Amino acid sequence: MNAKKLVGFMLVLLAVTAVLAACAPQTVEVTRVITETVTEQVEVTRVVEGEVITEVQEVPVEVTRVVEVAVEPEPVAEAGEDEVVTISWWGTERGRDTAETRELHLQLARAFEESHPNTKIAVSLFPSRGFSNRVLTAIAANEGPDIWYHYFATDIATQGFLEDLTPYIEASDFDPAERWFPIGQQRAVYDGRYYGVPRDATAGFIAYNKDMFDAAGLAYPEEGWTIADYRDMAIALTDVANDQYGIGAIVGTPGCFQWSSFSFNMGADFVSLDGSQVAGYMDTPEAVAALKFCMDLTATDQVAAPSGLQEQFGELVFLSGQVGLQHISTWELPAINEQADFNWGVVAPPRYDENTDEIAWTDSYVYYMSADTVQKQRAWEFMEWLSGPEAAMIMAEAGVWTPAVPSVWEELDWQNDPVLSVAWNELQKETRVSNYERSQFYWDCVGDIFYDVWTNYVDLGDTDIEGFLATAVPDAQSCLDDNYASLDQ
Amino acid sequence: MSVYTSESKWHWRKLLTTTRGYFVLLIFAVVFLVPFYWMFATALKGDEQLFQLPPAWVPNPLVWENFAQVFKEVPFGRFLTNSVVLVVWNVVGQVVSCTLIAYGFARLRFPGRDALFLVLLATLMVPRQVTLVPQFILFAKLGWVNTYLPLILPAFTGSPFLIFLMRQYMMTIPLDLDEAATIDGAGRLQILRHVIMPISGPALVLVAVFTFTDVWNDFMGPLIYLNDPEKFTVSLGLSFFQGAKETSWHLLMAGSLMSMIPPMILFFLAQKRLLGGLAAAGIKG
Amino acid sequence: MSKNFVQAWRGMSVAKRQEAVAGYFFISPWLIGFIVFIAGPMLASFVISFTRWNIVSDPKWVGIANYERIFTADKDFIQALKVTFKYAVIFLPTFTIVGLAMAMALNVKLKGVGVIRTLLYLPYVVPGIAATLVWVWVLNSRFGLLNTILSWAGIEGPNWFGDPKSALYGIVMIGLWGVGGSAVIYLAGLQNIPERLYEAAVVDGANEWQKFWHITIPMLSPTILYQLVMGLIGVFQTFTSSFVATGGGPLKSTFFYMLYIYNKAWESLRMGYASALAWILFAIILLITLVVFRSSPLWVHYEAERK
Repeated sequence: MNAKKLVGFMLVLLAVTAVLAACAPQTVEVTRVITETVTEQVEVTRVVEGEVITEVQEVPVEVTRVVEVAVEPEPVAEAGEDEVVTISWWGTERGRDTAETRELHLQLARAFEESHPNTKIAVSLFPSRGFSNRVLTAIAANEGPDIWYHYFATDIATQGFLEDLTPYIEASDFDPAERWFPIGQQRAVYDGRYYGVPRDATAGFIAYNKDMFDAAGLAYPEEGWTIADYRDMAIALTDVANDQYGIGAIVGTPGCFQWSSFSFNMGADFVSLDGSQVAGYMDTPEAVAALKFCMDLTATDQVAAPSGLQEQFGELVFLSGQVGLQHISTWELPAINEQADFNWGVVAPPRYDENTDEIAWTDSYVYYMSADTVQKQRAWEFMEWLSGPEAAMIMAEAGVWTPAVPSVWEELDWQNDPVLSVAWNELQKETRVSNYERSQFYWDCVGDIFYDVWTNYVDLGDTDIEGFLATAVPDAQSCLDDNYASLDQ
Repeated sequence: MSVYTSESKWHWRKLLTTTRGYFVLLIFAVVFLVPFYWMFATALKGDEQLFQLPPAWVPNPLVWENFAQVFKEVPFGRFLTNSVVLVVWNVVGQVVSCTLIAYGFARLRFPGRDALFLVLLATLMVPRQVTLVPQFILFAKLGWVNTYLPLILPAFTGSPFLIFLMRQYMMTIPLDLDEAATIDGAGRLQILRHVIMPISGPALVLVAVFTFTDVWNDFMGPLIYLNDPEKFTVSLGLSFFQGAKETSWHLLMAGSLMSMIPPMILFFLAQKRLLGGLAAAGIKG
Repeated sequence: MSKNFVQAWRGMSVAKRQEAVAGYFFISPWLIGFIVFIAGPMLASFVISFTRWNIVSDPKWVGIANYERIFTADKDFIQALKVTFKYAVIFLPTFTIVGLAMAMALNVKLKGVGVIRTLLYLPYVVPGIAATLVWVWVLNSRFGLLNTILSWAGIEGPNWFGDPKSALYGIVMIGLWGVGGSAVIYLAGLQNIPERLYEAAVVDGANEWQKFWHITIPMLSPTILYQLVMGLIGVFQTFTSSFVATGGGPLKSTFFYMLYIYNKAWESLRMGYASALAWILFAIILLITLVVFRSSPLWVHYEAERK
């Protein structure tokens, strides 16, 4: 191969990819300055009574043209009301329904621009891998977004790059307690101040495979059931010889420990609510009992699907049709709606026993405003709108995530939907911020303990949980202490 | 008679070497290609087959639409063009700069040469994770964020990896070739152009091929420096299929397979030049 | 240094001065790039290692506090070093031998060898994330390809990434899969060995092994040195495979040094601490590389070396 051929190859490659590029979908514009409206046929997907309905509608759509925005010197003061201002808004792709996710973001930006002609929204979507690196690096160089969403632990507020939104909320005419589900506020507040507003409302619950229950002659689980019922059902459903498992595996992402309500319901919190303490939480008898219960489902009862599968597919291992009970959340509903080729239902997670109430596992992404934002008032207007009912309705109709605003759920009658009503109920219950979202240092110091306990107990057969925690917890605590101390240096 | 025997013996030996050669190659090929089977199988699975338990070895039906779906979910063609543009500039930059720099380090004597070479190597050893932020701040100060400049210009200053590679290669070329050319009155650039470069073919091809692959698969650089999805590259685009909680396995694998085609073709074409080294070595002898 | 430089310069003949000027001219692209793009950020990260810096607000000077904690009270630092060194000891020799073996197998004039070369190079071009995910599947304890194949032979395969005893070997395999990139460099080196050397050896009655040991290895030694140094640097910066496949577990058996740096820098936003860790790593790699280079005159054979 000589130089000529090399150049030839590059040229051919360029030509081929240019052709491919021409066939690409037209929804990638970001720096949008000029918009015009045309009518277009659009597929609209909605979740109605647990079913996904796709219909073609004639919808006016703003076709946008990319116009390079000249870099202007940053104004020292905030712009006046009739000055045109561009707010940058960053988000992440979710891994599936990529085109729909992107379309939703653009739709939201357009809708806002329509009612706020002097504010332009520049949307950028990034892969979720490396997203926080992206945001933080950019902020360090003063190139960060004005608004973005992420799932930081609440105490990230101590790092000082988030704008304190409390004054804006106080000046607004809405009541956060009324506007959002409880988890929305809990995720956004640190030390009594608002550092964000909720993007969505996610609830955890249990999906069950009706076909497997019917085949085993078992009654379906019902709200108010206990963890003892859960275990009994799992045992009755398991038939390892035929690859039928009572539950999905419980280590890994959607495990029994950190990603579900199990620990709450068994009276165990693994980290203090402010995130700073592991000692006195993870090593309590309640915590050990919770860990043991979860691990025994695999180690002793052997009712869990092989852990390798769960690591690969997370909650979606339920779609195999060979798992009877599976922790899922509103995240997985679209996939299960689309792909399950068996009958299924959902039910609230089990409570500890007849005398205790269930504590719900709920979660939310949070929109943050950068402390470096120049046009704070304009950025806030967009944030307020994004977390309000109008935007929530657009989100709900797109079906990409379930919105944080209960009034929209009611408007769509979701509280009577056979599937979403379970989520609705969970979102009203007593709930706590998940352990991993309480401390920004969780993944540096604490997160591994669960996996280590698991490896010791299930894979290596070392049943001395207390003995392991006796060294692991002080180590984790010292790691946390050191990290927190660095904040005050 | 005796001639005939030795000839048939030679045939035998040749057949034996050939068989042995193919046998060894076959073993390597099988061991290294088996994982690709999984990539293909996953890329051809429909949604509902992805979660079968135990997993199906042969997807049924074969969902070829997944490859088209990649283009529908993201502007994959656009990403490909961007990657190619980026890669072409980088290859040009690296080939030119690495040749010059390696020649300087391998063939010329100047005070501080060995110390500077050590510095060059040392720059490889600081992990990128920590120089990332200062580097970004630098490029941001230059106003280059959301342009390809931070991803292209450094190539024109040579990658230490590739400079080292070229230097090592040039050190194996006998010095008397340069000296003969010097006596003939050739200048240093001429020597480089007409003596060194023609027999450095394999190394130059390696520089081009490695630059191509590295830039093609670079994730962090484009992620950090580009804001505008219009400018995103293939490796960034592929990551769209991997979410925080969910992964579109079939699309990720289908996209990955397609993204491997350009570097694969390049290598296939380029390796003839690698083989060309044999002839060049013959000239030397 | 500068005094020596001036002395050396004065003592040089005109021709040598011209050669030196030409030398600086040829390496100037790198020098400029180094000064503009590399030196600044490196120096910055060194200064940062003496601060507490969360990336987004102003750094605060803390003196040697970061280094002090690393060397006196940091268990994770020790564990990360142990894992990384263990990996280096297992991986580097394997990688070198397999790479060399593959290159030699490919260095034949057979029909179709071009296609096989391309195929063996292919794993090297698989996007990093996809490569790791594929191997997580291949090494899945229950349904993975490898354990399935082992079970045909009646062997019960290990619980690869689930068992602290085998997880590191899983990471080794992910690394080895991309050996084609390294084999190609060896191949280029092999192609550069003049055929006449082998012919002369045959005349002298050398067997295959002698040809390999007395011709191939010495002639290839500059390439081997290159691969060794690059391998060393690569080994100490192993990241993606453990980050994606194991997250450092189980029981920190794949807790690589770079993973630790990543955790401190990006999970805990302690760029100062992470920079200190990085500079310690830098010192370690530099030291080992220097040892390798110092030893190189003993075993590396250059056709053209000008001292």
